[in-house]
Amino acid sequence: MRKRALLVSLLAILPTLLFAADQARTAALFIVPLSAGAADPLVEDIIATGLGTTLQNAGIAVAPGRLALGTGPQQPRLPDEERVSYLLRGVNAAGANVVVAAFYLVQGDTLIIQFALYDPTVRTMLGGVLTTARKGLTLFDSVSEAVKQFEPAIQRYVRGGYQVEPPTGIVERIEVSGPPEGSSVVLLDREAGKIAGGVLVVPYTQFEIGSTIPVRVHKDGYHSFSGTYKLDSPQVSIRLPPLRPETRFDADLAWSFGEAMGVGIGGRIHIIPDSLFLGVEAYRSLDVNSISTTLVRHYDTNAQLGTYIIFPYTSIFRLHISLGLGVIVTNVAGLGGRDYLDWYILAGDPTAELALGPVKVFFRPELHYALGVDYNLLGRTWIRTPFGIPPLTIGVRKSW
Amino acid sequence: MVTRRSALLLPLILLAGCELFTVSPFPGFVDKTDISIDLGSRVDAITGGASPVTYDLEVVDTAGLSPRVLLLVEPPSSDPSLGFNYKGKLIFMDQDLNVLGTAGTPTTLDYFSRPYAYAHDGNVLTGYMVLSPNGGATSVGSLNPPPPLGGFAFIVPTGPYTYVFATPAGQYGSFDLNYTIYNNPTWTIVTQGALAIIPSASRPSTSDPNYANLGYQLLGLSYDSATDEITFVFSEPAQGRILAARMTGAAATTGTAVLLPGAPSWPVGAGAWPLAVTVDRPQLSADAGGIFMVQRDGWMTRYTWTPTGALAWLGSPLQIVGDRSLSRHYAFLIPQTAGLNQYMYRFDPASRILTRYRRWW
Repeated sequence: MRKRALLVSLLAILPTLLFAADQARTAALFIVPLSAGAADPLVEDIIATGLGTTLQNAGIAVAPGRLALGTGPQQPRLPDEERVSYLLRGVNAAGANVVVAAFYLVQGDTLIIQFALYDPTVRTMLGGVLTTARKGLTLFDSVSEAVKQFEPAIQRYVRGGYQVEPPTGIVERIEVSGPPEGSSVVLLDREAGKIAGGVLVVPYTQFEIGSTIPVRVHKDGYHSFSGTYKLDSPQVSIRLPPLRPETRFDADLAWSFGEAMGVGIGGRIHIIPDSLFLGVEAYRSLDVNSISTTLVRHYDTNAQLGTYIIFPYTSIFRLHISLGLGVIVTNVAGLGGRDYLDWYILAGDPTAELALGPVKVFFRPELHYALGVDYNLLGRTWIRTPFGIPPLTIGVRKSW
Repeated sequence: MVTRRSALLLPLILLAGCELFTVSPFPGFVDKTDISIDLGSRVDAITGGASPVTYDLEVVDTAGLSPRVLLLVEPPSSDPSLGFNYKGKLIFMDQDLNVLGTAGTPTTLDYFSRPYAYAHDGNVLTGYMVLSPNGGATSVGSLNPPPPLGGFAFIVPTGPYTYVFATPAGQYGSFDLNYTIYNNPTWTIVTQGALAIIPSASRPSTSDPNYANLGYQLLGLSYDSATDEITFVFSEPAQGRILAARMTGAAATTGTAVLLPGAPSWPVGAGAWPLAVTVDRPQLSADAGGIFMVQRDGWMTRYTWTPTGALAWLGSPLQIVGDRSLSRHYAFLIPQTAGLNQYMYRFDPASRILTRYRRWW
């Protein structure tokens, strides 16, 4: 008897409990024009009324909200599911159980509405409808009809047809670090954001654990970096190497065996950073045998176009070659008249370069072919020391 | 007192003592540059702008007379209507490169050539023409018959005589030298004849197709009046070497003499010659003290030999990097008058600049 009374009592209060549970659901409602500055209060009012009524009929309290869309040069377009999802991830649901959004676009007499039902807790789209209505006298009916098309999705949510289950096998968070501040990170072919505070948390995108994605990082003044990374856990931290600054300029200090009583300076401008460059060098030397007799000065100046070969800019050892034109002016102290002019061609100047911290050390044989024109000393020949080898130059280079 | 300049120079000089720091691609005589003159306008006046122009640079010297620097300028000598039409001129300069005069040939069918030398009458023998030391004409004029051309001449004080030695006309290489000896103001031929370089039996067969290219080229000659010794310097192109041999003037001009009578066969082994050095066809200048060679490898070498007695190198050769091109002309002045300065002269055909350098050897 007591059991039956208890059962009757439970059956009596069940609807109340169920109703109370339904009443606990709240929805954040967002109505958003897709075209910036094209908000239509009438459309928004009708949509809000229709959606609000439908939600309340389903036992869901409505908390209106505002969602701003970014503006850009693109023509207004309907958001695809991914974009809608991306937008909705950023909304402040203020504790609501569900986000209901209506994106609308007025194009002439046509009203296009994208309804979306989104679970902010698990960042999942629960449903959506793309409808087309007519604007004008039938606007109210058209919007009502559109809302009706969205109603089944709401009903499915209320009935529990949707099971909130945390996704499995999906990467939840991707964090990128390493590159300098302000570096742009591109995952797949989409800009994911910029490094700030040393890190970038990639906006949520569904990637399966185990998938491999290409990552590219770029920043003005730096060499971009590309690589592929495997997303092997729900929480992925991608540590990228720091970007290397692009070399725009070099300054050299050099000394040549073969012109020992001298020193050279040089400068280069990189047309293509760390690859193709224009350079100017000047070497001033004294004829060593002339120090105690008649002083002989040599002024060696050349201009060159060069390129790095074989080894990439990331290598600490690199090679570059150059072609160019130069002239050595030889002045004999106390001798009136003309100075000697030895014009020459830079025929390669293969240079080995070793990066040692902030500076680079380089070494090269001076492959210069004297042209034997004008009033010259050397004639038409390769410029070389008495040992038959060309002058050998070592130097240091600072790049920036 | 140590000056600031010397204090600064001292470490540099010490550093310069290290061979690694003394090597240079530039000619080692540059710091000896002394006088430089631009002969461009004079050359243009001679050539009238015609090209190509060939040059020769010579120094003539003998004891008791002022040395002369001679620059031969030869524009093209062929004329479409006249045929051979020689326009070459000889610029006479003193040792300080002051231009004394410019000589031409008596006719356009005459031409200048070696030998260039002071002659026994105090004039200058230029090929087969006798000119004054300033390039003026002389009463001797042209010698007929001409002496051996392309060779060398020197004065033998006893007489005095002018000796002329050269390889036979038109021969690239030869096994004989022709000579002529002159004396008297009228340039009377005292004697003329041939000096065999090696015995006839030692020479290659005349049927050898390369016979005309074999043999020896006379590159230089010097005479030591104290010993009456003539030093002959030959090039042997087929062997790529320089050879030197010595014989007294009296012995060389008998008409039947053989410079190397003991040579077994051609080519003569280097050991059989009094002196040999392997070098390929240098520009060469011989004097009583030795030879200068402007080599094709860029070295300029000074070999010296013992002043008297057997022909032998004295010490080690002194080498210096010169122009790495044989397009320049060099001449050396080793004055036979004691106490005068020694110089090297260099003429650059491209710039037409003539430069005198102090001795680097």
